[in-house]
Amino acid sequence: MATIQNKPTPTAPSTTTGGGLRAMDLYEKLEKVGEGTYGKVYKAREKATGRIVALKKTRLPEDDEGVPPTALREVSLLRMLSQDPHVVRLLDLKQGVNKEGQTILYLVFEYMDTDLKKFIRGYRANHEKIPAQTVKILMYQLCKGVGFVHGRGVLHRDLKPHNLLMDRKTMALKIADLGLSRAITVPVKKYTHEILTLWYRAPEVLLGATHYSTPVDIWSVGCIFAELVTNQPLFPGDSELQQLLHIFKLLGTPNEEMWPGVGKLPNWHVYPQWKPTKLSTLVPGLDSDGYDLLEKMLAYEPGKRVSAKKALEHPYFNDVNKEVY
Amino acid sequence: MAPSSYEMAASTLLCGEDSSSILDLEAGGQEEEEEVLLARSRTRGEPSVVFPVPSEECVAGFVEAEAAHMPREDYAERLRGGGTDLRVRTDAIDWIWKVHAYYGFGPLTACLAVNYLDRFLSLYQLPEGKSWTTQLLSVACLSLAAKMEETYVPPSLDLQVGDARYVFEAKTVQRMELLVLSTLRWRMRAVTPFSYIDYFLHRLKDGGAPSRRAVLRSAELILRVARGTCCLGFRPSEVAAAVAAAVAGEEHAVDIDKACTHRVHEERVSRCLEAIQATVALLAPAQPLKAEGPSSGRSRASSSSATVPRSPTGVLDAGCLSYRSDDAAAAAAASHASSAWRDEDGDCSPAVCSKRRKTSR
Repeated sequence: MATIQNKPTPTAPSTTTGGGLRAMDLYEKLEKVGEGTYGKVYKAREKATGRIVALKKTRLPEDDEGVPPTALREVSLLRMLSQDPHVVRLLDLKQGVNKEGQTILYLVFEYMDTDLKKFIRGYRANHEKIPAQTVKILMYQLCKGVGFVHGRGVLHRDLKPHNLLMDRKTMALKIADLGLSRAITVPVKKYTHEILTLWYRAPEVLLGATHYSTPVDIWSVGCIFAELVTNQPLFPGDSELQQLLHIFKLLGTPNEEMWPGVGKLPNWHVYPQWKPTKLSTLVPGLDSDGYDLLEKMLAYEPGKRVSAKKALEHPYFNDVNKEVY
Repeated sequence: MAPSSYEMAASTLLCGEDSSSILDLEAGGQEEEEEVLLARSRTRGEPSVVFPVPSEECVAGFVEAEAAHMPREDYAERLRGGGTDLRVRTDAIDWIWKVHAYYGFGPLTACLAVNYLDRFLSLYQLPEGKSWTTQLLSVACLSLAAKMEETYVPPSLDLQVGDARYVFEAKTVQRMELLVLSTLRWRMRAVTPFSYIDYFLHRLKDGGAPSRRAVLRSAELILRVARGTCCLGFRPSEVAAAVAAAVAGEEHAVDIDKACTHRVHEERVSRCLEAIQATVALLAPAQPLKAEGPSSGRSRASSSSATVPRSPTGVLDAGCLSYRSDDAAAAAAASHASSAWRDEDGDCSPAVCSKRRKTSR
């Protein structure tokens, strides 16, 4: 069994300004490893310590928008959430200026060597299934991280394999990219139909609900769970309508009986009346506890979806060594 | 410009045209408004979704985190001494309230903007005798709050409505935003009384759902408290518990004990409640300015831009944006920033100088 090494908690990130040159003098960029919601991500080495970090870079053009809301929300939320071992740790924030005189922000994160998307793709390329116990410990960590985030009054709203960082050696899994996250707060207010990756988007969002809450993240978790088991996305739609039809074809078209109020959602129409397919057919390879948990994550009615906290207590996780994760 | 068809509020809250009610609920109108809101909700066709009350775990987390989102301890005392800080704060909040009403932002946006303002002023000495810095700070705080909380945020220039005496370029606003962010160490997801209020209302009603009237009234009181100085030394959890007790107490006798969990101290809540009740008794209901229509707002902003000189540039150079966790360095940086601003005295254009007026108070 892999052991997660708990690093000592780093000091709170400081904010420093040097010229862009000075900020980058502290780090040696090694390679570009991806793009977040609003910026490029680099693997880098901290020159003073040799520590490997991830640098997330964003330019702040001096236009009408000022500091972008996505950057503002992500940093603010990470300042609040980073103490949890299942949320990626923000180590520092550097502010500098580039050659054109534009302000540059560098978010310095702990480095994680892969993400769940790459991890799954690796197994798919080898025509192998991810071992059942590996699926279980990854799902346990995911539920724990989501439980923590929700417990702090935050919706992630963009959970997908690409935003779940992993360390291959330790099998540690961490939630990242909170640029689209939102606080759950009272008075409750309307959220726009903002961009969520289609494949992991909850049906109530697709149907145009703006008063959604933590269950939208649980739906995403359910989709990820299924994908870990089969190596294939469960609902790979390529438009909002196609996404809905994918879901309805597989889980059955919802009605007022199973989802009271569904007919009043803004994007509701008459849809073909598909009957549900058994989860064991859609997602072969789970045991009965696994199917029970997955079913609870993919309940149509948001209020009936299992919470992350309750999921952690589900029998499916009984044989996980909960001290380690 | 805000899209005219845009509705900023959820069904339990107010649409833009009703936003004044958040600040000035009158007893007679409450039932009527509730019916309108319910009808509106039904008309939109959305099912009434009951959101989960913040869990015990969530509330405990907020209580643990809230001290990091408060002004420095000596700030309340400084304001009670009157003088420059109080004047700056009052002017800033007056402007924020006008713009807030104009755009129909939610109550949490106003609360956050005041939170940022207070925290910044408690840590950073604005240069004296430069009233434009108050204006610029107001714009930055409201802009940041709107970005954290609103789904639509007007561009910097459009945000500067409400008889602003100065209009700042977008890049100047951005630099001020960055200064506020550095000073507050990017802790913008602040815990506020709004984080708790639903929880406390539930507890004081023995777990029952609070009425919409109670929610609206609570929002009104929280904003009144944020605007004033009487509760500045109290924690957000204490303010929320006291507001919940005040509101619930309008309907039935309440036992404050029920609200005091998670290390929220009954004695402090009682004192906070007394301060709130004294304030409410002292003030007549606040009369918000009438929100201007979009077209007149636009033309006013346009005309304003044409006549007001460009905002000072080069004031917030890179040195002003330094902030280190080390207090001495922070003080040095602040001092440097002040010096940089003071150096601008000689560059003050006659037009800008002539625009300054004594604030009558």
